[in-house]
Amino acid sequence: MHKVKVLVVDDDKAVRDSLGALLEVSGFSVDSYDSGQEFLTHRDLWDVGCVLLDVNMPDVSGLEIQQELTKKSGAPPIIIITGFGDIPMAVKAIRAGAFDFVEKPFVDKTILDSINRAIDQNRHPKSAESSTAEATQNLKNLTKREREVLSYLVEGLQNKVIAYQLGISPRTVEIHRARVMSKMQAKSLSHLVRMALAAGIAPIS
Amino acid sequence: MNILFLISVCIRAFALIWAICFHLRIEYWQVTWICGADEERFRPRPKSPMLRLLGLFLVFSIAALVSVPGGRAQTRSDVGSLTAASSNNFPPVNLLDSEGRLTGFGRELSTAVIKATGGEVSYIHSSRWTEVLDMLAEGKADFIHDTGYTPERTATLDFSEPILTMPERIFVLKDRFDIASLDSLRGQKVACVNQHITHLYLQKIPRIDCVVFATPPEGLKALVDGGVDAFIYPRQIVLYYAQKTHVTGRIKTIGDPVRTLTWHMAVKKGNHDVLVRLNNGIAKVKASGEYHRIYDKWFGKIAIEGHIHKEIAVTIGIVLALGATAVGGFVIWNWTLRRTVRRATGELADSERRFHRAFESSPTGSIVIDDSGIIEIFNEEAERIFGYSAADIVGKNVKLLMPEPDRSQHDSAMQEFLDTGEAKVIGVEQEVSGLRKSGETFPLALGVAECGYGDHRKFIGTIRDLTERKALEERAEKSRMEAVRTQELYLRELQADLHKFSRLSDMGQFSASLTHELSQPLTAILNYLQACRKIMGGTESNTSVKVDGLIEKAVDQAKRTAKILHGLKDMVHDGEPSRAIEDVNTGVEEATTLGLTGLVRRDLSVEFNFAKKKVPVLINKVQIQQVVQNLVRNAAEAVADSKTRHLKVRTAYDREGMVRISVSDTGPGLTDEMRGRLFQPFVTTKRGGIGVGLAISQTIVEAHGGKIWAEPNEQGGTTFHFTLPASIRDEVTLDA
Repeated sequence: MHKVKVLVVDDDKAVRDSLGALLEVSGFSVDSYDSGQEFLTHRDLWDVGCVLLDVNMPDVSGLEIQQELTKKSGAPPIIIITGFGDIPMAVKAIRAGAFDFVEKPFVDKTILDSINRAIDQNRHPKSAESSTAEATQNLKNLTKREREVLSYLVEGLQNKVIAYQLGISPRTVEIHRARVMSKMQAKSLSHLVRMALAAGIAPIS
Repeated sequence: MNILFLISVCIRAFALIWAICFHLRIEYWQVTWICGADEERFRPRPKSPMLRLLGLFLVFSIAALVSVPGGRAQTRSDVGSLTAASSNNFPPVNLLDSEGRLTGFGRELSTAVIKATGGEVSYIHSSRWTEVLDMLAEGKADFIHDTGYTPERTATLDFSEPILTMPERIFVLKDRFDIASLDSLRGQKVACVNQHITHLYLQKIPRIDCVVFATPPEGLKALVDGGVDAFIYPRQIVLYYAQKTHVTGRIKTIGDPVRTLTWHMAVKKGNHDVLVRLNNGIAKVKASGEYHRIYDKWFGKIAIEGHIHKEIAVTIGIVLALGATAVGGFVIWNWTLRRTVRRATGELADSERRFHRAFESSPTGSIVIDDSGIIEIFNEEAERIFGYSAADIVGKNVKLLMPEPDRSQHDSAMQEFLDTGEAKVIGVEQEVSGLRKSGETFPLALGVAECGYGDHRKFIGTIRDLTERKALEERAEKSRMEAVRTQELYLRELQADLHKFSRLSDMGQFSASLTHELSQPLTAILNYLQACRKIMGGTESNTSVKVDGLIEKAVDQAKRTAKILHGLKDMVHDGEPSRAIEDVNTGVEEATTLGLTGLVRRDLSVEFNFAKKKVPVLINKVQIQQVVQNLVRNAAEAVADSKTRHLKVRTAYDREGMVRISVSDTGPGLTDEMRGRLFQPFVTTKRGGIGVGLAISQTIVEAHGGKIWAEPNEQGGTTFHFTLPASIRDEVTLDA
């Protein structure tokens, strides 16, 4: 059986190596790169199923790599791997066309699910339309305040910032956020952001 | 207006009175010869018109009293015919008509008089007066019906009551101005009628050249022709002839009458009966008005008695009216004046009252002083401000209200102003000190204005007590200061907040870095272990990956995590760490020893170079020792591969009360790039180092108010310095 090729771009050797091990035992073929520059100059993308990209690298940032990748036709889906607190950047990446983002440290199920969905999405692009329709439908169930909270979430703002902006308590924002996730049938924040963008929710700014 | 009008009225009244008096003077001479018995008592030359008027009143009143009893006399010789003798050339008294018959005033009057006594008169006459006298003396006639009175004639004649009064006037030509009186006629030619009483009179006056004419018309003609200088003769007679010959416009009378002559009827001396009869007749004729009729007929429009009365009455009326007007005017003027004065006085008093009321009730203290500083007015507010009552202070010097040094300077300042006019206080409100009766000094605003004039210079001082305002200002200032303090406090809090925030922010950044650093190995561990689980679960059997290798790698990553955490051990503190005064030398020595403990390479030398005195510093000893330990350990590691392994640790007082602790090594030194990033967290040059040591050191040093930096040294290695603020004050405590 042909193994799907997954590329890992991370400057931390341990992460790169361990992720490679995990993915290989999970049935993927893995190519690793320790910098964005190296990856961009040496790799064709024709056989790649998915790219795991560390957003926080010294020489070329993950976002720059992503921009370079999406310029090329038939670019594979990109999954952004972020450190803690990099949510705004992750959201930016999603808006720029990344498939998903995953926060370090992660459990194997999270990353493997994301990879599988990315590959599936890439193979069956039509399902994207149906998911957009579904997202649009779900969006109608939101209250005004929930839509506001959603648009701030799409912005990538933290709960307490949203609370400050709306003049309500962070606790209330959390409640709204949970409702939004539930109503939108979002599996994760990145999923929510992706759906919201698909349904045409624009970030506040 | 009023006064002007009154003055003009007065002037007119006086002018009128003068005019009337002048007129009366002329008329007086016209009338006196009519006025009967009393004219001799009348003064012919009164000194003033008013006296003349007065005289006129007396004349008439006495005449009225005297004339009546005379008229009542009755005699036995009232009946019978008499013969009268007279001249016939003394018109209009006696003259001949065109048929040669005797006519004139004298004849008609004597006819009326004798008729009044119930008799008839027959007349004999002559043109020569001496013949007339002879007729009486020879008994041809009973009486002469007109003769001028002279004392000489009383020797042969008895005179009746007067029948005519005529002034003897000096007539001259109108263009003669050199003759003013009888005296000025001396040496002049004067016309006289032969043997007339005037002639007889003038002969007695020396140096008058009498030119004698037989009849009056001849004398008059001589005057008009220029033959003589003057003609003296009874006025009425001259005027009679002047009218007849139309020369009235060419002559004039001058001076006062020479004499006033009276004409009488006369009898032979001793013929008493006829004389009584004549007097009775004259009285009757005068009383009946017949006299006036006859007089008017012969002397024309010369005023008769009744007319005189009337005229006098009118004159008196006019004079009285004028007098009344003048007096009334004066009274009215006086009254108006008095009323004006009273009103002005009232207004002045009102004004003064108003001024006083305003002054007294003025909300500012007001004091009036004279030019020597003596208080004249002291209003209620001034009383309230200074605590003196007006009664106490008025009359005293205003200096009393001033504290020193103003008090002793006031006199000279005032004198200087009076001398030079250079005002230092006039017209400007200024803040000065006042002295209350209680002895309390207080701030006041003083404005001084000058009033009065000339030698009566006065000054008004207005005074506002500034005590309350000052208090208010002070309160305002105080609250302003409080506000400033509050603001400063707030600013300081804000600064503290900012500082905290910045530290928090640093902390946030630090923890973000830390999180990242920790999440890397953790992610790796998770990946390795999860890979192992998959292998061991057998889902992916055909893998080349060995489980034990993965586990070894996971353990390495776990160690890496532990190391990071170890490095962070002392970094996380809650709240302000407790500090105490410590001696830096001691602390540094301990820490160095501790830092070098357990090192692999022990063959390095350490040189201590401490400040000689104890160096007391307020520090958290554990933290500072950790910094020192850190630096020593770094230095030891840096020199590990060097040929010379030498460390220098020194303490010294730096500038401005800072204590500097330095650790030098003989290691390879730092690149510029490295030196720039030295204190950033998780930057390291050491194999296996995590790069938090210096970051933590910096945090600690800065928290103590010091600085930390690195510089290359002469040995080619690196020297780390950090400073701490010395606590000089507590040095004494330590020494003791």
